[in-house]
Amino acid sequence: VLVLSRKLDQSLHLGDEIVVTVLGIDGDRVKLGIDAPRAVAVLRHEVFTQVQNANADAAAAVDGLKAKLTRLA
Amino acid sequence: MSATQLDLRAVGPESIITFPNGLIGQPDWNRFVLLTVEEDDTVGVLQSVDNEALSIMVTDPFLVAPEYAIELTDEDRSTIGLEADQQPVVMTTLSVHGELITTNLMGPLIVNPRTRAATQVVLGDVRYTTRHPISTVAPAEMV
Repeated sequence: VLVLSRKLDQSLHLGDEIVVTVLGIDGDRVKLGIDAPRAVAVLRHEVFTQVQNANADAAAAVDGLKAKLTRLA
Repeated sequence: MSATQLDLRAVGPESIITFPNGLIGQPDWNRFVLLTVEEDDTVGVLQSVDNEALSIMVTDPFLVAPEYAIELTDEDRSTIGLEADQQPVVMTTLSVHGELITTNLMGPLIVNPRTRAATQVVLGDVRYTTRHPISTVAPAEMV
């Protein structure tokens, strides 16, 4: 992992099109401004992981669901 | 006949649903066909055309949560080429946790019905979780 130190109001560039700026620091909370092309999805890690896991769960669940639904028929 | 026994090669490309960016966290889940499940028109199966082992059961979230509302950004719309006046098809994935069947209302799948381009979006509304129970009242009825 690349580790960089930034101060308030300082930025870093990810490639040519993405700029992340430290907008505020309040205790253990850091406020970041993200300037990225609209096509770049920006998600909190927890949300990304939650949806990723839900997708994996859904793919793993089909046989079980089919069994339940078959018993309906 | 179960859904996975369908001959996928017989399905024309016009009916393939394409997620150009894949699903969230699954960038290579790109091309699916939507199969119906016999005896039940409230669910469907998205069967991958690239990976026979990959299939996902989906439902109509508006059946589960009548008040369900999604707000698409301009970028979401442009990802799937949805015109401003065009309504997308919305489906949510189903999974099973013990006896409970749940659906992912936080990350619905949005499909352009004309081009069948699709994307998965994340809704900011805290009421919508990835595990919204759809059979809390009487799970026995689902069995």
